Amino acid sequence: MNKKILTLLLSLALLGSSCSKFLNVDEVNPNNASAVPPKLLLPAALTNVVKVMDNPRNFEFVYLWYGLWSISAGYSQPSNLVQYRLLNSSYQGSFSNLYTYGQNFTEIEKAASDPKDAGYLAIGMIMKAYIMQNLVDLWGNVPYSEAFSTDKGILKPKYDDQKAIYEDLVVKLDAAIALIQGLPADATEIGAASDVMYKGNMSLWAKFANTVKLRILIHQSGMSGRDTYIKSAIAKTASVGYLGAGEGAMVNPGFLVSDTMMNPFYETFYNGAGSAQSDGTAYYYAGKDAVDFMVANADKRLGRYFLPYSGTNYAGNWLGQNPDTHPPLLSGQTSKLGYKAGDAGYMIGTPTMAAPLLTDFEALFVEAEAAARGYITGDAGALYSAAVTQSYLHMGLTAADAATYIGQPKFTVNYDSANDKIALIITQKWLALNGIAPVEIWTDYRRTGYPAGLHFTEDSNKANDTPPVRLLYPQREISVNNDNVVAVGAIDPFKSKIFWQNR
Amino acid sequence: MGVATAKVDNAELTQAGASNVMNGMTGKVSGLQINTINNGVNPDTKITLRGNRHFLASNQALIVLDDVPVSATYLNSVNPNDIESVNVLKGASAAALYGNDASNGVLIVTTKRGDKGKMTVKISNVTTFEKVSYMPDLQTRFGSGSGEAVGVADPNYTFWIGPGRNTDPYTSYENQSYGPEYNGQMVILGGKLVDGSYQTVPYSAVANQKKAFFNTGVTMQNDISVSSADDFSHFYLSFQDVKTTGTVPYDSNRRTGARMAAGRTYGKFSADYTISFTQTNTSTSGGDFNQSRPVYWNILNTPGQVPITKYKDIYNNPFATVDGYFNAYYPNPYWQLHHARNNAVRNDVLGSVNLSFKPVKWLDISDKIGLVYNGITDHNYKDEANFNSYNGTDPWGAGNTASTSTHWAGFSSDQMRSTMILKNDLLATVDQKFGDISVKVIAGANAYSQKYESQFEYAGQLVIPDFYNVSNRSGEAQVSQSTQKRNSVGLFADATVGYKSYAFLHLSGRNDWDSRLTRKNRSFFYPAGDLSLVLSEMFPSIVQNEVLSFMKLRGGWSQTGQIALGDWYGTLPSYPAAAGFPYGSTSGFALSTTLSNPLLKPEKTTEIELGGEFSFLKNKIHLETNVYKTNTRNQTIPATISAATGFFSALINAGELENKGAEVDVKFTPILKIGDVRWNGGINFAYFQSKVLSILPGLNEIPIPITASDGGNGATSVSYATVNEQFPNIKVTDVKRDPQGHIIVDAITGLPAKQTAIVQMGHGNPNQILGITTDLTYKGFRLSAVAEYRGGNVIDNAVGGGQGGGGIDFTGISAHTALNGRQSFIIPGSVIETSPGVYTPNTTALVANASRGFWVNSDYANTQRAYVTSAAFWKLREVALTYDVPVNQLFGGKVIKTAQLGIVGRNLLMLRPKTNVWTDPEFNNSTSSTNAVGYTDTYQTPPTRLYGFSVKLTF
Repeated sequence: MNKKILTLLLSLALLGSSCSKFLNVDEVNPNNASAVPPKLLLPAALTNVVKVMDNPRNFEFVYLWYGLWSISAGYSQPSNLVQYRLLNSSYQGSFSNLYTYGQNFTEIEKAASDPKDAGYLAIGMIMKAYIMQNLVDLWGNVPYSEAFSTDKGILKPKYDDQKAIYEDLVVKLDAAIALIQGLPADATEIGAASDVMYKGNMSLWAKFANTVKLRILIHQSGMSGRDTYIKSAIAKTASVGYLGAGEGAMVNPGFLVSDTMMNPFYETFYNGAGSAQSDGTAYYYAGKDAVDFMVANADKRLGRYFLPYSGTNYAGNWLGQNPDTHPPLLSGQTSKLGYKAGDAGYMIGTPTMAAPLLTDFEALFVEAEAAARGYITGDAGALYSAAVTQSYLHMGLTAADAATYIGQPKFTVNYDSANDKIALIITQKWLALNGIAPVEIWTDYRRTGYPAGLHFTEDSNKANDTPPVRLLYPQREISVNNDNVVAVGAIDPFKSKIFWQNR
Repeated sequence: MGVATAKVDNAELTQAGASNVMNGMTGKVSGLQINTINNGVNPDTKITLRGNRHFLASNQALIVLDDVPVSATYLNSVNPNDIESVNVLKGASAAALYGNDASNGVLIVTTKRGDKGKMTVKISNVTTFEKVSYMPDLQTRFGSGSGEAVGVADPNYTFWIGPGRNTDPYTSYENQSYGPEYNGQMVILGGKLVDGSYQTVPYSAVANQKKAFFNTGVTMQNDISVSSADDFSHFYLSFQDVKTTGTVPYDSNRRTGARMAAGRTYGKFSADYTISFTQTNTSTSGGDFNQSRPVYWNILNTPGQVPITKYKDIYNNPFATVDGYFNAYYPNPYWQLHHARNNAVRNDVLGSVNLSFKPVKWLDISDKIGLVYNGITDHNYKDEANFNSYNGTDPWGAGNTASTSTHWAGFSSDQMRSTMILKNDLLATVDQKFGDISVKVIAGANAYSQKYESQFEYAGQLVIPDFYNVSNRSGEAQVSQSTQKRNSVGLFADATVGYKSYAFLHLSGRNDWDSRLTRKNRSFFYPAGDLSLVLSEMFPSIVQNEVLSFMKLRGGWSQTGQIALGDWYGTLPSYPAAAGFPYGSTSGFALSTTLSNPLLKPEKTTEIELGGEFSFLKNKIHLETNVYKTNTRNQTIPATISAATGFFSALINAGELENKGAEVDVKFTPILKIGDVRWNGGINFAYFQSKVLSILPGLNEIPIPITASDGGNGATSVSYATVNEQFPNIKVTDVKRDPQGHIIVDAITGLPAKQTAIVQMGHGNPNQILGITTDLTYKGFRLSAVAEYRGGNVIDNAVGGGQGGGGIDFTGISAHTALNGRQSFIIPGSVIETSPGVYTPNTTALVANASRGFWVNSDYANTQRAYVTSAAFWKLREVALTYDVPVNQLFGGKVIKTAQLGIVGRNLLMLRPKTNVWTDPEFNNSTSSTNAVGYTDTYQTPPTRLYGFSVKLTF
């Protein structure tokens, strides 16, 4: 202590000479690094994005509105959700998080100026395209050309036209694929420790880019006069191929059994001790539409998505059933979400399993639809069967189970029995993506209207007959970027469709 | 001085036995606002002078304790009996002497140095009792029920009673009170235990049910001090022990401290030092095992027919255990009293040394060294909770906590935080007279160094029960470390020139160099000046009359720079480890979401002040009045920016907050004097307004976040800085209304609908504060009282509701959920939109029932506006009656020199507008360090009343 006081007095006495040292103590931050190489940014950037996409709470409205899940009868049913009353505060977290996590890919791009680091540059571009596609699918016009541009002094990025963004994403993905194809021989090894998705396998990154691109294009298939554009865009990189079985974009930084470090889907329901999170498994239950569909089609995934409430009995509720006139089943008579400790084949899965950005079966469904629509060559039926099979395998079932399932001569499961191939593909995709890819489920419904016959909400006070077609801009944007939000024009959650919705 | 000051001496401070310095100051000085923002065993206080100057940086006044600047919270560790006086410098003009932290005004606290004369020993005891004084208005008509479907469930647990079915059925295990009206019959409470036993209770409200949970808190304050001084030396030594047990059972606080001060003069040299040490041990209960809700929430969640206090014995009473407690959704509040504790130990050391050399009569050279250390160790834990296998199968069919998980893991969390401040001031003071002109010049140099260090470790899954150590865990420990340093150097001069004894001109200037800013911006200068004229001495003719006896006019101008960086490394980009990382051998970092800014500059506060002091009727009435205006520009704000930039916020200098006000202090000495009866009194009044003049071009509003310690309850701030509005502006969610403000309801359901915009309700800080002090003496008796009024502001009472499942409307226990007897009703004053823009009064659309459907699910109850009320109050802060025992007559003054007995009371009465049926509007759901005032919730236990007695002896 005395020494410190002495130092203090001394530094005072020597004011002028040692003063600058005394005053420079804050020029190095002892708490956080001030610069980090791309190698150490990439694992966090990928993990953060998957934590947004694979957290069911962020997109619970999709599972609940579209018949897959319901809310326990033991809880007050949140009126905003059940009655389609979206607010500017509803589900705004994903908007903010996708952009701020996207900034880290911008940092990776900036730090990858050396041609040897082109792999990092390509990954940054691909991931930003993935992020932007999801943002457009949820919010339509969003900041793009002026997003991630604080270094240009832009704090209020303008909102770009959604169609123009979609078109530019295709250009960016083409460029990223070209970068990967043109990687120099001495390119930096990215490696498994940094690339927690494809372990540095750049040809898989190229296929992932091409699949995201195909998904972007297929979303526009319902638009009139868009076929020529879609086909020519697909043709440019058709030779790269698409993700096949076992090639899904699965992120795993090494999830481990410890709070805040587990698979994000699992962690919504269970904590590190294997106990249920409060409001976790007790909150979400099975949706009646999904249970009924699977029971009707003898779908073995029923026992994987949901648990029997007794014996081999499964049941779900529709959302918003009126407790007085049409009481929902009590929680003890409703199926919970599928879970078996340590078994990745149940919906809740395990704490250590990889989290999906885009599963192989989703890719195969996209390819099946593209083939069925004649956008790509290939056997649409075979791609469809492969998609369902991969979904079965993902849920811990066997290829034989899948074959039995799709072999049933029913238009709801069998490709050849179905007259409307698109209806079959999208309905089965809805079921396969249960608990996996809610944004895509919502997009598919909005652009195609499948699956047909869903009950949405039964609440008599619902704000509209059918669910909203988009989310509202976040409150934060309205308060701090108001001019640009206003420039987009008035937003009606039931009428302001995303540009690709043509129905 | 040409600026406003006020002084509170020890007697005023301790008259009502306050164990906390700030509680003893409340209501006594105009412009000084002290908020007890949460009660409890170690209450947190917020101290501001003349309102707000900063959007986000601290608005708390600087405390200078024995020449050492300390944070406002430091005062909680100081023994009020050690304080000689508190000098309040209301404005920023003293910043030249105390540095840039002085822009919010300064409280100069001087501790006792020893009274001249023979050695005296003082012993005192103050014992006070604390009781919950006000609960929110609660209903006593309806019991448990929340619409669990009656048809299919076990009729033992859920059934209709009574003829009317406007309510939900009775549900034996339900936490919400939307069941049938009480009828006195015996009902099952909870359900069958594993051994088949069950309990029944009369279906009627238990009298005084919720208040009965709370204890009478006791504070024992024991003091002893020794003091002695002569012409060349002085000595003071004191010990104090303050032991408190809280109104929440098992909550406790103990503060034990010692202080020593001594000094000696040797010819031209003198030396003086003080040293104090205080240890504070605090223990409060933590959250429950399910949702980690506070105790108060679980009390408010208990239906009226439940005799809460019968479930005290959580170990032996089968209906009080984790398995047996009636409530299937929320734990027994007694569980968390025993099994979830937040324990803190705080050590405070303050030392100051003052060396002075006076070579000639007019020159004094002194060096003032100060050291402050405070170290806090937080040790928080929660035990595991386990349900037996019978309850794990959800036998009551409730979909309850047990069936969700039969095992709830415990946690252990430890944090060590310490702050060390070292400072040195070297001062040269010249004090000389040249004929009628007096000159006093202080020139000085200051060096200041502060270091904050913190380490945190947390084990979220304890393995061995009831053993709290980070090593006792499964999974990874969470650990973090933080260090912040700041150094600064200041050079300053302060000159006062006086002419005769009636004209004084005072000028000062200071330049600071501060390490928190980059080299280019770290040097900044701030000047000040003021003038005072004692007109009654300049022109003695004006006091010739009998009315006016003294008159002084004064005015001042000052400018202060202040650095307002929350993170002292805000000028550098930072890449913290991303959430969850490292995962084993995989490391990962992500850029901070706050955009750093190397160009940050200090905030600048400019203040103008005019004032006057007048005495009338031979100094019987003293009047002091001030008007002032401060403008703080260049605010350092992490401005919320569009997340599409890739960042949540950017650190920038922008915006201006203007703060205007007037103060009047009147003192009557005495009001009345008849024989031995003497009645003194004083009134202090302050009016002030903080208004946001600008933020950023194109940006008219920023939210003021609740940063630290919001209890993890996810509360979102309702406080904003909005251009052209008072600060902080309170904006909340609301239902749709017509242009006249009537609620628009649906023509069929009678229900309103939420609107997307948030609406402005008023502001969070009061505009008027009125303090009244009085004391009446008769021989040895003295009766003193302090009352205070505050008004002009609003408060959002989330204890009521408005945030979806957060308040007592959700639980159905609030009085107003029962106002309409749970019958159908028309929302008063509501209108129906018959065609776009055309509204007609609603006389037909009935809300189906005023029960759960309305109070839990409707947009009325799920928007905040219905819970915003005026925050005005009158409080009787202090009442004390003391009697000086005539010990001289009794004991001849040999052993006991003086003896005083007293009865004291604090916060005895609180008057609120009728609309505020919720809680004390002085509370706030945030720590004292944030400016987001205007919001309370269930993390603040109900307000309390204190009363007790005191004995003070001098030997």
